[in-house]
Amino acid sequence: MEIQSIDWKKSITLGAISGMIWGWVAMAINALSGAFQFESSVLQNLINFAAGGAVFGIVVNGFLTILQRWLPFQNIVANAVLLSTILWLLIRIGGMFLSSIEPERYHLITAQSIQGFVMAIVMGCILGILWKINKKGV
Amino acid sequence: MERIVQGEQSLWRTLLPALVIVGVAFAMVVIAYGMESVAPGVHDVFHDFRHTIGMPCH
Repeated sequence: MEIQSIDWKKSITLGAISGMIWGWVAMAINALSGAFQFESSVLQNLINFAAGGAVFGIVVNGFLTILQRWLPFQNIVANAVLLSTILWLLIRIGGMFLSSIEPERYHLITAQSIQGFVMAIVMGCILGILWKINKKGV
Repeated sequence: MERIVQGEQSLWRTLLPALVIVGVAFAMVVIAYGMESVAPGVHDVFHDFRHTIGMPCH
């Protein structure tokens, strides 16, 4: 795929939509797991999780759009899961590095980390499924 | 002249989306680490979000 032939508007929109859905799913999963007790109100979190999720979704989908022909799997969902987990791990490794420098400012909680890893897989699934739906619609 | 204009348009068609992705990726890092020095208030706004997705926080 030539980078100039990519429909970037569609790519960014798809990433944002999948990210917003992912943000709300993350809220629901955390409410069930109890890994973290929310400190903000539900309404505030609905907005914040949608915004944060959209940012993550746009980045993952941006990479997926550019790298899709070099990714190892035939299945788009598998490729999306691979990318989202790699991205999450990279940020998490950066977090570990920050934690070693400033342990009083950044500390890591195992239960939340496991939940975060699961959420990265969920992000890939949501994005991959939306890609499939989008391809059928075209 | 036409070729130059086409070349310029083609460059922007490549460069602009790339810049958008880089910008959003930077925003993602700022949110993930709650970098107050870059965006004041980002730590509090995305505090619950960061904990939920397993990022380091205090």
